[in-house]
Amino acid sequence: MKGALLLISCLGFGSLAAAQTGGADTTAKKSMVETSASFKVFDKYGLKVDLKFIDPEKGSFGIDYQFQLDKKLLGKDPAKINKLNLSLGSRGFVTVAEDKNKNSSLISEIKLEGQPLFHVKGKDLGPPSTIDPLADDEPELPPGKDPLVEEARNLAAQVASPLWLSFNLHAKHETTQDFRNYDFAFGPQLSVSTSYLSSILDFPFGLLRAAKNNNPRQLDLSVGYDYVTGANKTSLAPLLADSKFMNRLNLKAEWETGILSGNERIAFLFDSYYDLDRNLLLKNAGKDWNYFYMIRIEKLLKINLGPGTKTKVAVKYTAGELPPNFDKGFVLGGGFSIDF
Amino acid sequence: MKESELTEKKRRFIKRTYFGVSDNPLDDVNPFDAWDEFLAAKVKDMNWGIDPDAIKRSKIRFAYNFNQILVHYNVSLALEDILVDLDKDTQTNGAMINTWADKAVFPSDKTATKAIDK
Repeated sequence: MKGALLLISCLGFGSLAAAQTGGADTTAKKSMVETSASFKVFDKYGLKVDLKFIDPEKGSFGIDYQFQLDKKLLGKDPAKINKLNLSLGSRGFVTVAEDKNKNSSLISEIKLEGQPLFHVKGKDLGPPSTIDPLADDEPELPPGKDPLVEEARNLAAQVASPLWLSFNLHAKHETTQDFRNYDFAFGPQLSVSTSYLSSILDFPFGLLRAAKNNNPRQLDLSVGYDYVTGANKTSLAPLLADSKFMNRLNLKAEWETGILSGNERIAFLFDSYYDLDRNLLLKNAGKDWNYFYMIRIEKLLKINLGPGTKTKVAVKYTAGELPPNFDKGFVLGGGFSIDF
Repeated sequence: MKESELTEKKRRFIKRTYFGVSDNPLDDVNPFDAWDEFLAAKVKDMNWGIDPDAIKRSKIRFAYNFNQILVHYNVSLALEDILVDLDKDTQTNGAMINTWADKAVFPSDKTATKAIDK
């Protein structure tokens, strides 16, 4: 425990993020997305890199990265929400000392996504408001006391859909940091975002929470199937009895909520892989059901270091097994970040 | 009303509704409780999610709700206009609010257009 506390207090945490969309002119265009004649290969690209110091025994210094390119294929009507996208991306965790990386998993994938496929309609808001939105001359109040903020918050709770459904078809290349072990996985995935379970999940955190504007985000659940080929190129090979194929079920969940006062959040991510063939060797080795989880606690700090500067502390604990090798490991990282 | 005053009022309305909708008690992605922090924060600082796919879904849900609430106030801002700016992770909420306020069609804009047509 002492070691962990010492580690947290000594660790640093930095972040660098860049994202861009193409073709979006920010000049005034009345309620109409510009239809550009220019050809764009991708509509959006994004890169997120988190640098962090970790336990010296696990590589001292690590990088969490996510990279994504998106192209809209269908559903370019700006008034409609259903879209079909092509997405290319990569994500993973790399450390300076690659042999000490306990979460050695780099996943690059191409996906065809239907986002969203379906959603349950929220409550009807009734007839449109007769109040002129620009008529208000009241002096500015803090968000917590602003009647329009409160009204928008309540209207959003009414109109919000309690259940969204999305799907994707994906092809993934899963490799270790040194690229010595790798496989390919193909399959569909169905995702559900819902607020139906929020009150149950949030119950213990709600008891410890003082602020009313620090509530849960919708629970995000995904179920996917992976047909894996090239499994004989991973460290699971001795357990697969000469087979290079696997049938895998992937269950993923993420959720977060507010805790304590108005500035602390706790987030959970759970990602598990279940071998549908349940080969006896895999089962005996405890590799038929592999899972990975992350718990992150974040606190925004009210330190004034100048305009546009935001400070925050975060502690992130990750543990479990990730493809392709499903080696067991954990990483505790955290620290202090300043965004200018 | 002067043009600058009108623009300021539009921005103020969008700012307040964006704050409220993102602070939805059933799907809260807004970790802020003061205007200066909220406006200076970057889009990526909102609590959209951890997994890139979950972040996408979260932004779609917000855009849908925000669009519906604006329609309720007779303000038109296309879903795609909302999503295009939400994808610019490094822009500040303040800059995004200004863009949305410029793109949105308010009831007064419709009246002005009708008057010009006549």
